[in-house]
Amino acid sequence: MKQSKIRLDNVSASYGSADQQNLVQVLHNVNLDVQEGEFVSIVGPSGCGKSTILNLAAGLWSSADGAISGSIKVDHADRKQTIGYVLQKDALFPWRTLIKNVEYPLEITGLPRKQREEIAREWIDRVGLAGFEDRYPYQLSGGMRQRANIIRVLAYDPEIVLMDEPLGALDAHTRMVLQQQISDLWSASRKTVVFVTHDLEEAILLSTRVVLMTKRPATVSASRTIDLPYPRTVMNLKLTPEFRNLYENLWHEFCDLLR
Amino acid sequence: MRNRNSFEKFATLVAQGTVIAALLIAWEGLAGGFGLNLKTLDPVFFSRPSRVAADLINGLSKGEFTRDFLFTIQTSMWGLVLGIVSGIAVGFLFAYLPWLNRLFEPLMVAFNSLPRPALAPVLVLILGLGMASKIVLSWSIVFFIVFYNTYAGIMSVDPDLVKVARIMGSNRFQIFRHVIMPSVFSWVFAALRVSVAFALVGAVVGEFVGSTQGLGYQMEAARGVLNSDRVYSILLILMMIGVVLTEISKAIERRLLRWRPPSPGI
Ligand SMILES: Nc1ncnc2c1ncn2[C@@H]1O[C@H](COP(=O)(O)OP(=O)(O)O)[C@@H](O)[C@H]1O
Ligand SMILES: [Mg+2]
Repeated sequence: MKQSKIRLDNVSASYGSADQQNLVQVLHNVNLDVQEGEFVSIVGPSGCGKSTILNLAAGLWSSADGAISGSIKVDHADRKQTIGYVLQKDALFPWRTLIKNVEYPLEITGLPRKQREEIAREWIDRVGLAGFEDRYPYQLSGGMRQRANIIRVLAYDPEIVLMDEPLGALDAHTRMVLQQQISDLWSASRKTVVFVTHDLEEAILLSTRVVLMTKRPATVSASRTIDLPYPRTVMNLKLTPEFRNLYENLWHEFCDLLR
Repeated sequence: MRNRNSFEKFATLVAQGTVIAALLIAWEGLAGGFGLNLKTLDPVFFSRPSRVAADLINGLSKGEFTRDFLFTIQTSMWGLVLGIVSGIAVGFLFAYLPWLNRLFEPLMVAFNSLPRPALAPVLVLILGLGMASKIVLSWSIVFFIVFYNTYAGIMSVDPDLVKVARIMGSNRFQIFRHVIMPSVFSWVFAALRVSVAFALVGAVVGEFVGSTQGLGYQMEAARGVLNSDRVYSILLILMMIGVVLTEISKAIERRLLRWRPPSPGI
């Protein structure tokens, strides 16, 4: 019996304060139910409120940001380190080396040095960053930093992983390599993932379900299950007729939303 | 490639040495040296390199600089340390208590706008001819440098880093310790070189105005009896102190801020 991990019911959100006449409505009656073990991608035009949804799920909305209505439920949100959030910009600590960055979430829970080093090293190996443990972020390429950014979150084993356009700023080749790695990591762990992207192809390649958002004020306009088996080989999957079918199908809908 | 690099370095070194040597030779020649008896630069006021060197060696061998050297170093180091500690503390206080910042802002701006050497007579008047008046003068410069850097450091902490740290489960103390502090220290250490230089300025200016010890005091005394050789000897010593302190702070900066990308200028 699957269980709902994140559930948004009729959520509307506006930035700004009502008295200042500059209230901007971003979300309008958003309904989203992410089940345990799903990999859900949220696709929508830039500025429609995708990051806002993740912030709401991560509990990062404060009353100073604006007004919200509706109900937001996140399973075990009160427990520490339930949620992992990969920001679009790789927010690595510039004064920590790669391995110390990955160790950070383990360090603050008081895990002994040896154990956290071991876990961090394992993740670093897994995404092909071995040999770069003692580099500072400025000494790493964009793709390496983004990998570090992702494994720093996975290293503490959160129950829910939120990713905000983690591959948005990368070149096509690095992007594909990391898509494959994310897909492999997911099919091995089957964690609950909410993945935000503006790239429909990427969404279909990685996800078990794709959610399309409308322009601002955004609402969910479509939700499609992607019934392609795992493990997936991103490079080959793109060329299969099953993928092309799904893609064309969603593409028309996606284009309608942009109009 | 390597060879060429080291050759270039060597050539630069030779060129730099030549410029300095040329200036010294010109000074020596124009100020009555080399048996030319030119008086373009009157040696009574300008001395000349050979006489300065002789005085320096003589003074050093008799230990005539030791006491004043130690006094100046001690004074500036006290000013530096107190300035850094209080600058960081008050920086945090003001950043975390905005009302305090609002309350004192005009006062801070006014004080910081005051040319600090003008404080020297007042400080000597109040605190006397001893070390205290110089330490306070030195502190009053360093404090503002560190204070403003601390404040700016806190205000410019990357909000994404705080956000990330918070989501990963850091408590307030951990955010302070692992995000705010490193960020602030990077600003403070980046200003270390300037702080050190100004600590020395404060000490020497204080000694000029009223003191019984210190290199500034000895220089002022030598000037009073038209001993220009000694004036230039002390100038040279102060220059050396400045160079050594700057190099030490550069080394500390390099070590503590090695996580920063090297700026293209350095
Ligand atoms: N803190 C904020 N204050 C005011 N407006 C904001 C704030 N954050 C985002 N917005 C606005 O809300 C809209 C949605 O933002 P966001 O959720 O970041 O969109 P997306 O991630 O889909 O690009 C944008 O138009 C943006 O300008
Ligand atoms: Mg966004």
